[in-house]
Amino acid sequence: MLNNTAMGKVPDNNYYLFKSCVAGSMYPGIEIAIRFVLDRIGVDYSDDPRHSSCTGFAYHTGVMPLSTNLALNARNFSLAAGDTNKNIVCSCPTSYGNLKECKDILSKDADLRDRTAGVLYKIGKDYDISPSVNHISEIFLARLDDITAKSVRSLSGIKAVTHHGCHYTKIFYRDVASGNFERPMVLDNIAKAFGCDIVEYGERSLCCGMGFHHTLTESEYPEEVLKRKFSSIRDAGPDVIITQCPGCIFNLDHYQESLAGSIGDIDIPVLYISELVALMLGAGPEEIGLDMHIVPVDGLLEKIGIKGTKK
Amino acid sequence: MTPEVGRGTRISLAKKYASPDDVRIRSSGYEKCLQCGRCTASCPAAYAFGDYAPRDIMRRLSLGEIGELARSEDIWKCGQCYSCHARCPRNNSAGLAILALREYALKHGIAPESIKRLASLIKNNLYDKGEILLPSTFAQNGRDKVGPRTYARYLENLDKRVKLGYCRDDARKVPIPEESMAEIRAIIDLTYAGE
Ligand code: SF4
Ligand code: SF4
Repeated sequence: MLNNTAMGKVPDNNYYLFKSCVAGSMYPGIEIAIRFVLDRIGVDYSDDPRHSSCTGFAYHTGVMPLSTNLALNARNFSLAAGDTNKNIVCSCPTSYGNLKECKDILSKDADLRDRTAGVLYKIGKDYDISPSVNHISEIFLARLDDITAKSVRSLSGIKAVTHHGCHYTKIFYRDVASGNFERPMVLDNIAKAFGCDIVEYGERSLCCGMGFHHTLTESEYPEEVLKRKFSSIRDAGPDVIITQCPGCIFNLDHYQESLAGSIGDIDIPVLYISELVALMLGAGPEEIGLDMHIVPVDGLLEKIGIKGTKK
Repeated sequence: MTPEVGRGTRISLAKKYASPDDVRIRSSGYEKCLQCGRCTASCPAAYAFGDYAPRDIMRRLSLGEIGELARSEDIWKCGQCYSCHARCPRNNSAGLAILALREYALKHGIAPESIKRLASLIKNNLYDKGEILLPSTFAQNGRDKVGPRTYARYLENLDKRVKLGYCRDDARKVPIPEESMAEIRAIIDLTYAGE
């Protein structure tokens, strides 16, 4: 189900797992679930504590200079290049987009490359930006047969909508691994493999309203965008919203209650794709932190036939 | 029509005006902008804030209004979703140019106060822990505004993250080793001008 252009490009082993500060701060279960799935299918990966934030959230807010962004990520590339597992795999689309952008700028701009390589030299690291940049949902898609072979649960009878991250679909829009940037199918195809019924909604490609600084400093932007997004999602009547971005979950999960005043009650659980896949492979809900979600997931779990997260 | 700008002569406004030497402004493609408005029609910020339009950002760039743009609140309205970038028929990217304008505004001390505060919080996070967002950073916008259930569950999560083996006030399970932190701090000192 990978696009022809993605065939052969999405690596099928040796992953360098890249940490997300939003996932680690708000939904650590996303990372636990990723490792759970990769362990089940027996692939090699590195979980290196040495790499830093990609700084993408700050970069897009406009508070991280390009030069710092390039140098920190050149260091991150260098760490992956020196590892046996060299294929960088991000859980956050902003890391995915930002690492790709750094690689792109450094490959095209000789002056910035020389300056960045100079900084790495000063801290005693080799300049090597060769590792590929991938998103975990693409890895799941590339290894879908191995994953479904380990499945112990099913999503049959579950209605879902998908929300792909803007920084996955719209920055390097030619690289979307399945479907296209207007209609990405990466999450759809993974969920369908477990029998999930994916339903359409009009605002599929609308952003989650994160807007980086917006969500930390004011609520006008997220709320205006989310009113439109959620009205459309609610018309589709899903049991769950599936995402591939820790930031999108944060926004879609944290703003539902405050939108009740303007568009009426909404109470739709939001799950990251690794959480859903780990559940299908037998993970316990609390083991992967599902009780940390703001909109409780217990109703959904019961529909899937799993005891909820409440004691 | 003057002889110099006859048929087949391309007029480039960009050459007449100085622009900051930032690769992101150069590659935003503002010189190729047709003013067709596809970016604005796609833009969630233009929908959320009635007075914002990425098409205008492109026009003002071509008129060389860098300083004025950097001083205006407009550049902080963009949500960095890249809908403009994906949908522009000429492969332009207003969102990308905005990043350069934001960096320029902060460097020249003309960014809004709320952004300056966020910038220093984020820089401190990076300097201390190697991450730009930490569990405590999300309390910024007064999470109590999000509703009582949301706030209560958000607060409980600090204990739950510890149960999952994660640090209480670090985004990590295993914090970045000191030796690596020294490299990260050296990079910040070498590259992050200002403040
Ligand atoms: S879509 Fe592209 S060409 Fe059209 S107005 Fe926007 S930047 Fe200009
Ligand atoms: S990146 Fe910014 S300017 Fe472009 S469409 Fe998104 S919000 Fe609008």
